[in-house]
Amino acid sequence: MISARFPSPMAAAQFREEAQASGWRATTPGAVDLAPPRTRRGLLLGLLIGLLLFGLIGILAEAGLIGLPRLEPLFAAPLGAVTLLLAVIGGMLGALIGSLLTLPHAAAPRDASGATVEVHGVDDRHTVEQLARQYGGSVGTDTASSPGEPAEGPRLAMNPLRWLAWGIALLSAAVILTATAYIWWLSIAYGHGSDQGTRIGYTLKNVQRIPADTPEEAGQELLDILGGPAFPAPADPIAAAMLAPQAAARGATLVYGAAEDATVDLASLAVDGLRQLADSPVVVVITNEDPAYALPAAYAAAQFQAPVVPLVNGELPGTVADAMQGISERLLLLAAPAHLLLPETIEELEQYGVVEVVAAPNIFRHALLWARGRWGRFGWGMDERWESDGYYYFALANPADPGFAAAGLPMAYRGNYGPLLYTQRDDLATLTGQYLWRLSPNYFVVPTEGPFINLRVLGGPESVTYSAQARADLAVEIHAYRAQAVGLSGLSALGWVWFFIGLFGAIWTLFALPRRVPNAMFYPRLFWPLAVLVLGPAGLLALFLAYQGRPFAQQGPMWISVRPSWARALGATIMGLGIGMSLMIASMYLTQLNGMPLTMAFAFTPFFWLGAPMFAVMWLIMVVPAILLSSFLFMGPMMAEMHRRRYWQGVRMALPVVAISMISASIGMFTLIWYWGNFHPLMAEEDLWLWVAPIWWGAFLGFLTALIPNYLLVKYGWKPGGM
Amino acid sequence: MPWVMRPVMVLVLVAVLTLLGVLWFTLTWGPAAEPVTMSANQGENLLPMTGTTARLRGENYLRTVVSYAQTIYAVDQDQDRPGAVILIRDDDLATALTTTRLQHFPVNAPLLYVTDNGSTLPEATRDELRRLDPEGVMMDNNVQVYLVGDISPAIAREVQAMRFRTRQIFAQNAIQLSRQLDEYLAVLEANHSEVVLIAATDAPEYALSGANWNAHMGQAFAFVAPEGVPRETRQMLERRWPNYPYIYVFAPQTIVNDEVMAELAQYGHVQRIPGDSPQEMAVRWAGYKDFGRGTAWWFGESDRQAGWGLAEPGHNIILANPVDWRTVVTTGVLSHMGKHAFLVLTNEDGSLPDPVVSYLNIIKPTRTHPSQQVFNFGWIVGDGIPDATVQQVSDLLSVAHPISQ
Repeated sequence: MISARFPSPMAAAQFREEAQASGWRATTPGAVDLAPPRTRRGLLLGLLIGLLLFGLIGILAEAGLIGLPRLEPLFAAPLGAVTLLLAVIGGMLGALIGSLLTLPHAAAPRDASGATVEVHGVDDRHTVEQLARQYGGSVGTDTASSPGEPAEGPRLAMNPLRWLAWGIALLSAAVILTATAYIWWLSIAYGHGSDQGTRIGYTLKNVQRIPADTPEEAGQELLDILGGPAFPAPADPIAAAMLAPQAAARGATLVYGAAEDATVDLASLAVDGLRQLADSPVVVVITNEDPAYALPAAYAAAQFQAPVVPLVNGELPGTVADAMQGISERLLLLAAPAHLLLPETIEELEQYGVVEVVAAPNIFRHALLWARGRWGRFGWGMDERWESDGYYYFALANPADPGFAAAGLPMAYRGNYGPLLYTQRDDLATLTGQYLWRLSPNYFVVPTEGPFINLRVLGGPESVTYSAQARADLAVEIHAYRAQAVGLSGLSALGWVWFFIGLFGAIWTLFALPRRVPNAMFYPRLFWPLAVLVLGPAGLLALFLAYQGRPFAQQGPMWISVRPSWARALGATIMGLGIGMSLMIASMYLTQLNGMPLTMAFAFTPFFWLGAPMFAVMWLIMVVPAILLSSFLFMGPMMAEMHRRRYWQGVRMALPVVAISMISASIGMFTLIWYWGNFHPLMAEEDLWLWVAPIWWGAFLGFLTALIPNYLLVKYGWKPGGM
Repeated sequence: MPWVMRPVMVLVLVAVLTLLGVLWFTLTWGPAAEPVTMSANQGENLLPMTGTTARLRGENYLRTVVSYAQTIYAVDQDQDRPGAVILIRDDDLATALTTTRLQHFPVNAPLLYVTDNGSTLPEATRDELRRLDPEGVMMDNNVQVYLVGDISPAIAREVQAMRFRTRQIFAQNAIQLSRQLDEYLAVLEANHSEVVLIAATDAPEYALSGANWNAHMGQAFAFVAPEGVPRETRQMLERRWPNYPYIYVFAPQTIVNDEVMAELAQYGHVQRIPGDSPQEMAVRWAGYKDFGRGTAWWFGESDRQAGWGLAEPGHNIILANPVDWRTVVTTGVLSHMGKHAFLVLTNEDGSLPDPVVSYLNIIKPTRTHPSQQVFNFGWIVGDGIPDATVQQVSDLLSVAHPISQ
């Protein structure tokens, strides 16, 4: 190995390029390695663990097996979006933890005046020496590096301007994170509602309530609502469940609690049902022990006119068993979870036909199994994972009050009919909420195209609160497919994936830059994490392209990364946008929060559009402060330090380059936001899930458009780009 | 390294500031609402249902209008409240008709009334304004209440005293107001709508169905007078330049004659909506669809859509009696959200006109399988429709040949 020493990092870089072009293996000791092999392994391991763990949670939730309380609006997005989003969050979190735990402090160059290149596998020292001389270097001097941080000196020393810059950077990050955190918080906490004391009644656009405070009243009301001949039933949920298919077959409305004879003989009801509905290929088997499990099945049985037979104390009554003889071709759907069955129940039932258990211990999931299930012609078949055009009408009741659910049985087959869903009292049950949000209708041309979903609540506020009703009403409102408004859309899920990569990447950058680039100056330590936060994966990529494998050396008073011109253009763009774009996003958020400015000053003139909130005024609010703050607190002082000038001279140098950079970035950013706002309804308010997608992708487009002038600024020496 | 530059310190400080930000937002929320404890029977007589319909009405026309807002905006949480509320006078149908376009997004607002020639904020409206607590229109300075038309400034002050941000769009008559509103929305959206609905000042009731469409779509609305096209309307039509207005006239030939149609045709493409009565025009508008070129430029275009154009099952209607227009023109909010229903009118005695029956038979659903079944639904509004008509409509809307019959 031959070491060559050069007076400047640029000379060393040029020598190295020439040496590599000659086929030599030339390396620069002390070149930045942002993620050494051990860190890469830690990162990969963390990524895999987080991805699998969170991804599994997503898969289970999307399969309807577990609930993500208060995050039901996420399920408005297409199948897979929740899994993807959680997997990315988990993966990035794991990668962050894994990499930070294994990230060592890099050796810092001790010699501040030059740079060394090591040439490996070359014996001809003379040839190397000749080439080195062309770049002002000499051969034979050993490399100079040592572990630990170099003396800080003025590199990180704080002064009033730096304090201000530090404060603005932190505040920008906090505003951006508050904006994004608030969207999640609002989903979890719902925000505040108003007193409803002046309400006329419970009717809402997508969810109405049967006006009855008792199950018996509900039975009578439904007779009035649905009409038809009455079919009196006793005030017994199990009996009503068994009678509903017979009522449906006769075209009559079952009236809960209207039967004069209150005595119930379940066995004879079952035998009657089997006789009257003898053609049904399906028999629904329920248990008398917990009516809440029987009723979702009874709604399906009523709609498809299948006989319902009860298990009494876990087994079929003798007369029912006799009536079941000789029906081995039928499908027996058993609507009772294991804890309500005897060990031998299923085996005994199998002598009458094929038995399929359609039950879950979780009562909310149990109801959903019946809403989703379809066996040939029998079954609602409303599977939220695959159906997207359903005009579904549901009954909604509290499983703790099975009388109400039983009274609602006519809604399974009269009027606009549909299955039974359950909710808890105070808030819409999480699993039911996830189901409804996933079903929530989308329109593609105009909202009137449908589909439309409707629910009717059974029970008073002590059974199902107004809040639970209102939450269901919100869940099933029709929205544009790509926007979704209060729910997450596929597009917004991708926007959040982008954001979370940026968020975790920014935290990683915050820690990694001081450890791996110990000589990094004050300002890059601020603007690089901010840049990654607002540019997401593009910011991370830019960080690696700017630093990875690049020598880091002192040039004048500054420590810089020695990069080719394209990478310097990248660095120069980030230098301007890291803080500038953060300020633009933060000020855009604060403006949206307070209401965007609209002025009628140009109304009735050809320039009316200048008064629009997304045009002149908004642009001024976002871009001008960003240019000024960036020039006065970041680029100006940096330029002054770099060129050993006074502060104001630095500001004067910085102002035009910052203005050029920010204006070109804002053109890219505004173009995307304006295009989406005008030609596709994707301009989201600041408290909606979609908000991040146009803003962050607008920022990325702004980054791309800013690269062009920054390349020219670097090429003509207006900007350094080595930070 | 100074302590302020230590990554852990920076991270903790940003996290603390973020938490403080979220906490501040949470503290700005109003006090938690009282739990709703009213009986499920409350309003049973005012809001009865059938299997395929639900009626909306209050004790008087003001409360009936409130019932529409209460249906659409639950206001149980932050995201089911309106963007704003629009206050209009209760004695000027033409003003109300032209204002419905403001209800559409991004404003997202119900219409409520002020009374006594625009000088009184009635209790029903004030109560509902308080309940709705609009979140503000982000695209316009978070305006929460619009006062549209010739409304007394005292109302604006009263509303501001309730701590709502207001915007007044003032005009002395509906013709001028149409132009004012058009320009306001053009500024808001940086574009003038290429579709312009036209009503006649001497027979505005023909445009009731168009007003509902406009609450749904937010297109332009203007007037013609018996003596021709008013100056304000002509100026408004010219504002589409260099684009081209598509003009839809809601009046029969007996109201807007061919001469006026020819005058309108100087400004853009003109069509007359068929129908010899408001009832017939409403139901023909439900089935009407005109789409095609909206605006176009060298490398792009946007299309136009006028009319509901519905001729298949799976849709929702608003059934209203036109006798009391105050409870009809305000149903636009039911076209704007929820069922996105279109307006169908009864005869003045509350019976169904023949064209309505024919139309409802066209869109009547037939039974398929519940997993793919489509349903119709109807809002019955006000108290001008007898129960017999409701039952007839309910049957017409319901699925033909249900399994149980």
